[in-house]
Amino acid sequence: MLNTREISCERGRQLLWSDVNLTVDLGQLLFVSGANGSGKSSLLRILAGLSSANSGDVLWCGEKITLDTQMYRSQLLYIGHQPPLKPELNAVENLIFLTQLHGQSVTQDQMISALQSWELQGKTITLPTKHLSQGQKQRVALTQLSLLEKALWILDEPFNSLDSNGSNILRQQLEHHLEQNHIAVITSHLHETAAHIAPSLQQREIRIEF
Amino acid sequence: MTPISTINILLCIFKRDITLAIRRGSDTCGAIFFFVLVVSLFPLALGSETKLLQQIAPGIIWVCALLAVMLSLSRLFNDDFQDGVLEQLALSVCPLEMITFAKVIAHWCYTGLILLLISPILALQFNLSEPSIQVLFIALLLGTPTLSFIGSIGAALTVGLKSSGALISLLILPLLIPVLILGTLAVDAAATGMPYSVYLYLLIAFGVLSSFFAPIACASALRIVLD
Repeated sequence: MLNTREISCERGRQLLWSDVNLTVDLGQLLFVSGANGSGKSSLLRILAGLSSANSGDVLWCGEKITLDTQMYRSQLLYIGHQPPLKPELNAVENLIFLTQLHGQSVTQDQMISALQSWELQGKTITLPTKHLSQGQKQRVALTQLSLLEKALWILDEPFNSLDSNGSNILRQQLEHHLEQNHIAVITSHLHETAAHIAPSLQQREIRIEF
Repeated sequence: MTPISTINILLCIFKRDITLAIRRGSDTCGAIFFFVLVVSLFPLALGSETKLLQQIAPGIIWVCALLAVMLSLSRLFNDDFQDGVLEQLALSVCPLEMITFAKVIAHWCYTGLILLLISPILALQFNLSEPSIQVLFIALLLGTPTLSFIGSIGAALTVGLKSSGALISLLILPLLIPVLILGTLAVDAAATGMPYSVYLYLLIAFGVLSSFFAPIACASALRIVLD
């Protein structure tokens, strides 16, 4: 369970938002929407423990995330608005590195089947990622969702630059994730309705708008 | 999916940094060529006066090594910051201090170690005697890791800045003066037949201290940058 207690956020001496109290239960999706610059990404970075809130606490399973960061990180998968890929490495090399950073090693077969579930194969996974399109890079980064078993996903604008096929795959992954009683936090600058994201996600969704 | 140990995570980071250094060969070679060219300019400009060259050789090789390492430092963390990998490093199950340690060791392998291996050949241009070259080699072996470690603090503090190169030099060069002095004194002592081991021990002491404290400083600087 992910909780926040009266967190507030300042950027450049300007108060973006304050007194945010959230409770995301197991199996729920937190959908953060708002205009550009309203502080969606800042909220996500605070939830991930990358930034610290100006006041208040973030709690995971009732404990402050700063108490046992190692434990929290072992359950957390954060993907920022930019796919964290090295342009000189190909998709497989990038993913091997990213999964090992999470302390996991995956076999070649697992890697190939995970990439295939995101419709990535052939040249796409052997070329250095600098030759891939933005959407393909996003898919490679999101392949981590299929490779790592994490209880909490924090995804910043995951639907950005994905085509309709890619969005469908992501929706399925999200549904599967929530069915296992895990938690996901996603943002979007679009005011998509829950139904727009996925009808089955609707009853599991809580929203916050800035 | 199987869990792997911290050591394996660090090895993986080390290997990735070496792979990246090889794939962007021109950048890596830039610092090396800078070192080779600048060191070679001195014998050409100063003429063939053997005595003078022998006297100034240790200083020149050390200063050039220092500047070459400075040149290569600006990309140490900046690239990872630009493509968002730094966030993933900071969120790894492995502590950021150890990750920076692995990255700095990798940095030493693709700069300091190569400079070190080339230096005996360059020293021949200065007509250095064989014992002096040996001591120069050992002094560089013990001193260049310190350059990478202390330099990494500057690299971490300037992550995200546009013209970080000059700022890194301003921040870090004063801190490296002791290494420079000890390194050149060791070679001078060897050339004149004096005992030189004390300088080498001091270089080792600097190396040990910096390898312990620099990663801690780097990790804090990087966390501030990401905040």
